[in-house]
Order: sequence, then structure tokens, then C-alpha cells
Amino acid sequence: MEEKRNKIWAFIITGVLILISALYYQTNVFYMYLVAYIWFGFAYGMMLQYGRFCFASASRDLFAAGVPRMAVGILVALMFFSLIQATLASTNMSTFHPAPFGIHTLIAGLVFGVGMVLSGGCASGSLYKIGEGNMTSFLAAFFGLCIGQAIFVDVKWFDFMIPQKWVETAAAKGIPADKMTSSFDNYLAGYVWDQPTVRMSDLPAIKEALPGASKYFIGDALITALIPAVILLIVIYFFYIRKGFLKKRAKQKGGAATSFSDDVAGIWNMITASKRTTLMGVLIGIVAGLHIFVMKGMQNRFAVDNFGRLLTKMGFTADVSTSGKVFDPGYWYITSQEGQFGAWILEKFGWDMHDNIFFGVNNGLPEPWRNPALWMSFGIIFGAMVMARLNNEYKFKLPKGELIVWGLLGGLLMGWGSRPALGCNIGAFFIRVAGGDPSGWLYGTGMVGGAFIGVKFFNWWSERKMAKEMESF
Amino acid sequence: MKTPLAIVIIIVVVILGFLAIYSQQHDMSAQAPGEPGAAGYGAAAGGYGSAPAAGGYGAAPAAGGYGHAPAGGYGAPSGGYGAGHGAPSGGYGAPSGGYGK
Repeated sequence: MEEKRNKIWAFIITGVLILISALYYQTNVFYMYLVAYIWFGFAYGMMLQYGRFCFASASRDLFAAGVPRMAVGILVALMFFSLIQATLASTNMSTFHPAPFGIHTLIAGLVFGVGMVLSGGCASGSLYKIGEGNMTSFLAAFFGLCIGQAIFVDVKWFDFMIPQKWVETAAAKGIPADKMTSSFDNYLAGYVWDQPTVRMSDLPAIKEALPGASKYFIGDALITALIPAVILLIVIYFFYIRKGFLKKRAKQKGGAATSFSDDVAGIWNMITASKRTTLMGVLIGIVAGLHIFVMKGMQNRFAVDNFGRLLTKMGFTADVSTSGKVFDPGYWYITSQEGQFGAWILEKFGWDMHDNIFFGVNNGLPEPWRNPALWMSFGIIFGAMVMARLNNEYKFKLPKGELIVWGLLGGLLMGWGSRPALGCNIGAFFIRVAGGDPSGWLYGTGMVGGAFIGVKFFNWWSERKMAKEMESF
Repeated sequence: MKTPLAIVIIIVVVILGFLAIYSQQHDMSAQAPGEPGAAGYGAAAGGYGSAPAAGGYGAAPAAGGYGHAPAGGYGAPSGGYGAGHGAPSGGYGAPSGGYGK
């Protein structure tokens, strides 16, 4: 009975999304741009749920239980995606752009890493877990990533952290005063925008040494993503797998297993240990690449560089920023659109969210039904819900007790940790590294460091709680 | 694999395949109702202009925006965060005037 109901729900959700897509197409063909985000989001959601792909789970499993399954899956996805990104860049079909490089990326990653472990899901993980019915993830996403993030970019609470030099630098840029009202505005215009952007294939040394398409494959994919990912796989193997694997292999062989080929077999065994995760890693990499290909094609087809131009053509000028744009990354991205959703809600309560650079100048505040990237997030939730329903894994779970606190606190830290680096585990790490931007590794290092702190904190908290319970017992 | 799951996967693959083909056809028949043509944002003169290859926070191939001129978006030397889109004349980031340095 339950299984039948799940199937019906899965088809209803899919059917409704098809209907919505058709309605958008009928309203205006420009909305096909937005429809593409819906369905790539849906595909991401299905794959994330099936592969249980979550950076928080990866960190927790690795640091708390010594299980590297998820971390390996993420690295496999990264490797495939980097090759596809290089192919797209070499054919001028990439929408990727590097981010300002600086210490802020590392610090933001650290805060985000702590947050994702506390809330029990990273930015993408929280969305697919909402699709599974996990309301702790909903708390984290709604109050942290949506509301918390929107508030973060629009308040002066952090002025004490902003050096006078940044304020002066920001003021010198001549941005209208009515768009420069928050601490984050001074941080962006006074610091971040002045940081260099680095993409391996753009470096003069790489460009000169590797003319043509090879700079993308060697500079962006091989040097930035593949070699570091392989090194990380080897490190994970040595620290978490090797000892047990060689012991088992020696038993099977009936002798010592210490040769190089044994280690290679061990690494391969680690990669293929969870076919489900590895397969999804490969598929996510391919689909993320196809997503870029399609969005670039949409931009070419409609002769625009941003969906905001299409909104303007359709007459929705209030949706776009002063630069005529809305948030439209052109690839898989998670957090900025949730911040837009939070800001949209807060505006309904009378909070002016257009008076800052983030929404007012850069990203705009479209109505949710005309927000392409937000539709991608909804797509992830619905895609995960369909997959969970079809596998009878959907379970509506309300948070209780301290889970509410962890969900809220973790969500806020994720929201606040994603803004200074202008991205999350997907936008600031996964996409950037695969695109040849080394700042992604800086964010990743911070994120893993933060996750380690988060795991240690949880261990300490659990032990303290158990000790107290034992005392009272 | 269960049949319902296979059906949903086929639906998604077909839709993504359709989008991939659709996105590569540049017939430019798409136009908003009552839309006069190539006016407004991205027009040759005036408005905010459109950078042909850029997107999101980012790179405009030429012309200012907030921050560094002559290339790049708001502040980034060669694109990066902050939309850079300068029309040949007028608007933020235009070579003459605007908010660029």
C-alpha cells in the first residue's frame, strides 16, 4: 500500500513539473532558459539522493567512523567533471568564471564546514534530504541558507570587522549610496573585488607553454583537479584503507601482500567499494558538464549573457538588479538563490533588500517563479523526493530536541560561511576546482578543516551527554 | 531496476536530451510578445549593454563595470564576481562615465 502510494506521488510530482514546464513554454519561449534549470536540478536531486551524496556525510563518515566511501565518490565526480569542463572550455561552450582568490575563501570554508556538520547536511545535501522528508534539513535550509544569508548581506552588524581601508576603497568605487548600506557591501567593494582571479589556463606561463585546447586539459583539469584528487585518494587509502586491505589480501594470497600492485588493487577496491556512490559520482560529473553546455547554448540561442536580460525583455524590470541581471550562474550552484528566496520573503515583511550590492546591484530579486537558479534548488528537492519515493525511502521526520538547535545553528553557519566566499560546497569548491580555479581548493581545505572541528565537537558533546546520563543513572 | 524508476529516468533523460538539442538551435525565433526587436538591455547603445560571453558574477570581455577598467566586472581584473556589462555608451561601466575606476 505504502509502496503504491509512493509510486503515485513520484509520478504526480514528475507530471506536475512537466506541466509547469509546458506552461512556461506556452507563456514565453524565453522561459525555456528557466525550464532547463528545473530539469537539471531534478536530475541532480535524483542522483544526490540515490548516491547519498553529501559533503557533511563524507566528512562525518571519514573523521568519525573512518569510512571514506562518500569522500571517494566526491573525488571521482570531481575528476570526471574537470575533464568535461575542459572539453567545454576548449570548445568555447563553458559558462565557468573563476572567483577572487584570497584568505577569505579559506575562512569562509571553515565556517561553512562547521555548519554543515552541525546541521547534518551540506548545501546540496540539505536540499536532497528535504526531498527525503527530513525537516531538520528544512530548518537549516530555510532559516540558515535562506533567511540567515539574506540578513547577513544586508546588516551593519559586522562593521566592527571591516577595516577603514575597505570602507574607503569601497567608497572610491562610486557605487550609489543607496546600494551601499551593509557591512557586506564594504567587504565586497572594498576587499573582494580587488582580489585577483586565478584560472590555470589563463596564467601566462600555461598559455605560452600550452597553446590551444591543451591548456584546459592540462592546466585546468590535470594540474588543478586530477592530480590533487588522485593525491587525496592515495592519502585516504593510506590512512583509512591500506592496513585492513593488505591484511585481507595477504590472507587471500596466503602470503605477504606488500607490492605496488597490491596497493594499486587496494586503491581500485576503495574506489569501487560502493558502486552506488561511485556510479553517481561519474554521472553527476557528466550531468554537471551537460548542464553547462545547455546553459551556454541557451545564452547563445537567446543572445543574452544572463536571464535578467530576458526578464527585462518580458517587462519584468523590477526583478533585475541595477546591472540588468539576476543570479544566473550557468551551472550547478546552491546558496545564492536561497539567499534571494529569503530576501524575497523578508521584503514581504517590509524589509528593504534592494539597498545592498548583493541583491540590488549584482543578483536582483526576481519573483520566485521567475528565478531560474531557485527553480534549480526546487528541482533538486523534487528530484530527490521522486527518487526517495520510488525507492521507498521517503520519511517525513520532524526535528526534536537538540536537533532543532543543531539544524538552526548549522544552517546559519552554512549561510554565513557561503557568502564571504561567494559560494558553498558546490559553487565555491566543486565547480571551481573542476574549472581550473585553485581558490576552490582553498575553500575545500577550509571546509574539511571546519568539518573536522565540527566532528570533534560532536564527539565531545556526545561523550559529555552520555557521561551525564550515566551519572544520573 | 524497478519499472516506475526506469520510466522516470527515461522521462528525465528525454527531457535533458531535448533541452540539449533545443539549446544548440540558434534560430532566434524567440521573442517576447510585443517586443520590438533588439532593443533594451544589450542594445548597441544605451542601457546596460550585454556582454556576449560572460554570465553570473562575472566576466565581461570588455568595458568596465564597477571596479577595474578596462576588462572585468565589478572589481575583478578579468571578470569574476560582480556583473560587468558595459554598453558602448551609457550605463554602468561604460567607457565614458559609469562607475568604473
